[in-house]
Formats: sequence, C-alpha cells, structure tokens
Amino acid sequence: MKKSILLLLIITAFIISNKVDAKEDISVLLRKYEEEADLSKKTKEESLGHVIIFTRKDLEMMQAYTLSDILRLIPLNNLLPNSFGVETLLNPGRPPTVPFVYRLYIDDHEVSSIHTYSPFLIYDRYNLDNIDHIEIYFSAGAISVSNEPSQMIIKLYTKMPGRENASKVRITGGTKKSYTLSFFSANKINDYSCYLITFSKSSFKFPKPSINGHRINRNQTRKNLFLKYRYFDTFLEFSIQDVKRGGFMGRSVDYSPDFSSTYSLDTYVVITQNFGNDLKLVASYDYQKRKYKEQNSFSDGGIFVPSIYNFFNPPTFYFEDLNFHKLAVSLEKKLNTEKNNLLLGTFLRYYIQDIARKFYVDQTGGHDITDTAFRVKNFYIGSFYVEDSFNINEKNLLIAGIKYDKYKFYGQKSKNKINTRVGLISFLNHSLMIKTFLSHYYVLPSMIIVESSKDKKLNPMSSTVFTGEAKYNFGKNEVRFFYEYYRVKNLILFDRTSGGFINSSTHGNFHGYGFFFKRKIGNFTNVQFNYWITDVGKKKYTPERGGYVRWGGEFGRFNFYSEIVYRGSYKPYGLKVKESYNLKLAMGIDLPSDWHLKLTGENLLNRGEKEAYLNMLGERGTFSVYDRKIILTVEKVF
Amino acid sequence: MRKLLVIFSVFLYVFKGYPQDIDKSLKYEMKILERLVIDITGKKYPKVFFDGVGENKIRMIIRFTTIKMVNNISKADFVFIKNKTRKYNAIKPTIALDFASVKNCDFCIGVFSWRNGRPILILFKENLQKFDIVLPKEYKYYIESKKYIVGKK
Repeated sequence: MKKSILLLLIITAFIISNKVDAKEDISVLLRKYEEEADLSKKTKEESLGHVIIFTRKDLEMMQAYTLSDILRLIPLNNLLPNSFGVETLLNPGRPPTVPFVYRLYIDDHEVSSIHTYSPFLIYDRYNLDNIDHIEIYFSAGAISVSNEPSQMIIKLYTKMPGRENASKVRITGGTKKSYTLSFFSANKINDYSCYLITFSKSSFKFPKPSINGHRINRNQTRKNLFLKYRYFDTFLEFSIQDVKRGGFMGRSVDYSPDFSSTYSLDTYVVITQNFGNDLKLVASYDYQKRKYKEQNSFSDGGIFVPSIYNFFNPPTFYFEDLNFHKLAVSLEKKLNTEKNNLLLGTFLRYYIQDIARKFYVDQTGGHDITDTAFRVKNFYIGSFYVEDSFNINEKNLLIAGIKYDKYKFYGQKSKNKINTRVGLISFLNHSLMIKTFLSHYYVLPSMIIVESSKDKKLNPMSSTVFTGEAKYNFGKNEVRFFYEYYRVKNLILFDRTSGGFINSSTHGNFHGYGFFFKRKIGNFTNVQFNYWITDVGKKKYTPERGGYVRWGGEFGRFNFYSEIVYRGSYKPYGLKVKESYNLKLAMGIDLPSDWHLKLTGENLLNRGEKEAYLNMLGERGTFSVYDRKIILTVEKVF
Repeated sequence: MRKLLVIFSVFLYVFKGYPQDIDKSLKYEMKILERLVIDITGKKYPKVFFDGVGENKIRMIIRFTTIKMVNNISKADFVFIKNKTRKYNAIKPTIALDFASVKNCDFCIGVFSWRNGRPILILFKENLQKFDIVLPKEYKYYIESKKYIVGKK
C-alpha cells in the first residue's frame, strides 16, 4: 500500500513539476518559448468578446502584407468594394455602402474615419510591416472601450522593438503591376527606451469593370510613415498616410463616372502614459483630409449628391475638400482583488469638420456651396464606464458592465444613452468552455449619415445582441461553435424616395451561426476550417454564407500556406451570382544572410468574389472583384 | 495513512507553486538559460556571474533554475552579460543576452536574444573551441562562425 502511494507521489511530482528534469531538445524549448511568448497572449482581452487572433507567425506564414488579406477571412462578414472602391467589411446581406459599425485600433488609438466611422477608406490595404498581431473581436456593445459603441473591434498591435533589433527592406511586385516598397526598423536603445519606424509606398491594381460603356477603376497608390518611441512607461506614436484611388462608381447615377478620384490623408499623434497601479492615460489628436472629385455627363444622369440633386438639372461635376480634427482623451483604472477585476474608465472625444471647398457644376454653370452646404460642424461624446469581472469560482467568470454616454451633434440637443452588457465565461471541464454575452447598446449615426439624412437628424439604432460560443478541445483539435442574434430598432436605411437616410420603423432581426475546426499538426503548423451561415436569405445584396479552409506550416527553411475563401451564391436584383472560391497559395524560403524569398498566388482558380450592381437607370450586372495574380517578394533583414 | 495524506498535500502544495506562478514564456526562457549553462559547464548546479543583467531577470533565474549566482567572476563557471557598450573581455565562458553586447565582446561564446520577432540562439564555433567546450549534437544547428554575427548587430 505504502509503496503504491510512494509511487503515486513520485508520478505526481513528475507530472506537476516543470523543472528541467524531463530533457527537451533545445530546439523544442526555443520553439515553445517563441510560441508562449507570442504577444497576443498578453494583449488578448477575453472580456471584450469573442476573439479571433492572427499571430505574428500566422501573418508571416500567410504572407499577409495588407489588412485586407486578413479582413477577407473574418467569418460572418463579407469583404467587398463599396461604390467608392474601398474594400469594406459588410454584414451579410447588406449592400456595399460605407458601414459605421466597425472600429479599428492601432495599439491604443482608434483610427476609424471621423466623418464616416468606417476605417477602411485609409486602412483597407494598410501595410502590415509594423504590425505584430491582429485581434478581431465580435464585441457588440463592448463596454471597456474608449469609443462609440460598435459591433466589431479590430485591433492591430505594433511590433515590440525590444524583440526586433533589426531593420528590414521589402520589395513586392505582382503580375498586374502592383508593387510595394517598404522599410522597417525597430531597436531597443537601452533598458528604458526603444523606437520603431516604418515607411512604405504601394500601388494596387484591380479589375476595371465596364458599366454603361465606361471602365471604372479603383486602383490605389498609398504612402505611409509610422513612428513609435517608448521612454520608460510613456509611448509616443505618430502616423501619416495618404491614399489616392480611383473613385469607382462614385455617386454617378449610372454608376459609371467619366472621371472620379478620392484623395485621403490621415495623420495622428498619440501619447499613452502608464502610471503604474494599472492606471492608463491616452491622449490623441487626429487630422484627416478628404478630397473627392467626380465628373459624369448629363446624358448619363449626372451625379447624385443628396440635397442638391435635381433630376432635370443634375450636377455633372462635383468637388469637395474636407478637413476633420479629432481630439480624444481617455483614462482607465483597473482595480484587482482576489475575486474581482474592476475596470473604471472615462473618455471624451471632440470632432470638428471644416469644409475647405465644396463645388459643383450643372447645366446652369458652377455653384460654390462651401458656405451654404449643410455640415455637422462639430460633435462630441463623453462617457463613463464600469465593468467588473467577478470570479464566481475557479471555473466561472461573470462579467457585467454599464456605460453612460453623453453626445451632441452640431445643431441638435445633447442626448444621453446607457449601454449595458453581461457575460459569462464558464469552464465546464478542462476541455469545454462556454462564453456568452448579452448587450443592449446604441449605434450612433456617423456625421456623413446625418448630413445625408432626410431631416438632417437621426436617432441612434438601438441594438440588443446575444452572442454565445462553445469551445471544445480534444487532443490537438479544437472545435468551436458560435451563435449571434441581433435585434435592431430604428434601423438607419437609405430611402430612395426622399433621397436621404431615414430611421426606419422596421426592426431588424439577424441570426448568424459559425463552426470552426482547428487541428494543430506541429509547432506553427495547423489546418483550419470555418463555415458560417445567416438567415438573411439569398435575395440580398451580399452573400449570406461563407467559410474557409486554411493550412500552413514551417518546414526547416521553407514555409507553405494555402487558403480557400468561400462565399455562397446569392441573388441580388434578380441576378444570380455564383458561389466564389478564392484560392491563395504561398511559399517562402529563408536564404543565407537573412534574405527571404516569397511567392504568392492569389485568386488562382479565377473564381474569386463577385459583386452585383443596379444603377439608378435600372441597369444591372456583376463584376469580378479580384484578378488572378502572382506576387513575388524579396526581403532583406539587417 | 493520515500522515501520508498530509505529506501528499504538502507535497502538492510545494510543487504547485512553481509553474503556475510564472508566465509560461518566462518558464521556457528560464529552461533555455538553465539548459545552456548546464550543457556548457557540465555542472548540475553551475555558478554564474551576471554583468549588466537586470535585477528582475537575475531574481527569476535564481528562483526558477538550479543556477547559483556568485559575486566574483573568478569563482564563476559561466557569465551572462547585457548592456555592454564598451569592449568586454570574456575570461570565462560568456553568453550575451543582447546583440549590442556581443558586438563588444570578442570572446563571447554566443548570444541569446530576440531578433526580427523571434528568439535567436547563436553559438560561435571559434570561441567554443577556445574554451574547449563540446556541446551535445542537438546544438549543431545553432553553432555558426562568428563572422555570421559580427558586423550585423
């Protein structure tokens, strides 16, 4: 009896002790160290929502050079160019417009557009050379964030200079004359300071569909500069980037302007100060510039600009030059006890819009409407929020939060709204985890939506959302089921009759289901499968279902990656759009002296995403969103 | 029987404290450092001298590995250096924990640090020979000529 207990003791000690007794190969230790040291393990916030992570290794293996390489994989969403040619995330079924329910962060700074709330105008093809990892949160109504309530938060975390100690030059060229030149450098200066710098220039080419006898284009050229400097617990970040792109369908009545172009510039500076004791202050200033130019002949219906459009005398040339400023400050304090993790936070944001010039030409001549056009001159929102994560016991965590918002659009009275959220994370056993959230929140219309509304005034959309996921691990496998239910009141919709946005009296109900499977084959080698479906039906403007299969791995000096992104067939405007299968294959090889050679094939089956349109003249059709292309990349690290 | 249960409980308590207390990545970092020193010195409880290494890191190494710290380099079997901005003369087998130090240390036997987002271990063939160090075969992928690193960082 005693012997068996002694044996039990020894076995237990062996199992629970992590000393170096069990001799692991040094290469195994290094790999495990790299895997465990992944920065996403430190930044991930389970209480924010249901999270999908693309680690540094994933991004490298996928040869994901731009944000859209990642966005296209996000389940329960579609990525398609909107009418201005901006690759945009869209809820299933929604028409390709400018969404205002997504928020994008770079480290602690929210970079979404001041005017539209959509981050994609600047960030759809954002260069990822300075990004370490990406976290996608299905975070409807999340409380612990310093921005207006939203449906999804995309967080880009920049590389940690202390882990880089290197500079890198990247040259990428593709068969369709796309290219990127990029320089990156990050170094630790000493134990208390470090820096990161990156700048790049890119050009991306896309198919030019022919509508009403014209080729429309959304080709873009972009430049960016990003700087980060750390001094003790103070972080300073500066970013400037601009994008010039073809205006695509623009606002032309026939969706086929004779000429259209958009120039966008975003710059910001942000200071983050960690005071210790879990107190953090973030202060920032953003400046954004938008220039838009479009020309469309009278015979083609001219240009549809809300509030100035006249069917008998439409604008045939339109130009606008807008400037936006954003001042934001947020303060967060965490109070941790044995049972509770309490977060207290507050933020204030103030937006200003200047119109440098707004001008149009119609049959009667030129009209300068710089001073007369309605605009939301300013907007502010202030907020207080409290969220507590209460450890009911070792296996169950209860999350409850409340957020009080006070906001005011120019020319309107200030309003107050309260957002609430409860969640439960429960580990039923070692293998099975359940996570659920119930949120009630308000989605504010963006400035541009208010300006384009019928009455120059809109109520926020009131949303009640339930989300749940069950995650089951067995061996090297992980299975995940996801469910979401949205009930939205006061839906903001475009009303063709009045030519502006209105609060619809109809309610929106939306169910989404997702299935995920992941099998880890080895260190940094895995296969993943996803399928999602919603109940929006096939007769909507974008696919109602989709998924992917992904596989990637490292084999000595080589790495391989492949993915097929699937979107279901749909029938918008009475047209039939076939299902799409976008195949990407990537291969990389590490050469001596830190040279790296990478080869990527995109849309190899030539069965990528398709989009449908119906212009205001009643003409309809479909077009391919992506070309088939081969991309070659050479990198040198020094 | 009751005594055994008490011993068993104490046993569990003592061991439970170790791995759960620290970040897993730190645990592996400690394992790597410990393994390196043991394999290089051939001693199970090697004496190590730290020069320029932060206090927190030293505390972790002492707490979670079998490494013993000594305050006199002459008593050390091994040396870890960091933040060396001037020429450093390695009189004992020495590994640098950053690239700046290895540049200033002609006789360091290697470097263990982060570069381009991944942990890097490089051991210098010439200097291993100088100290008559023969390492197990598993290290063969990490042994390079010093020319590989000099001039880079």
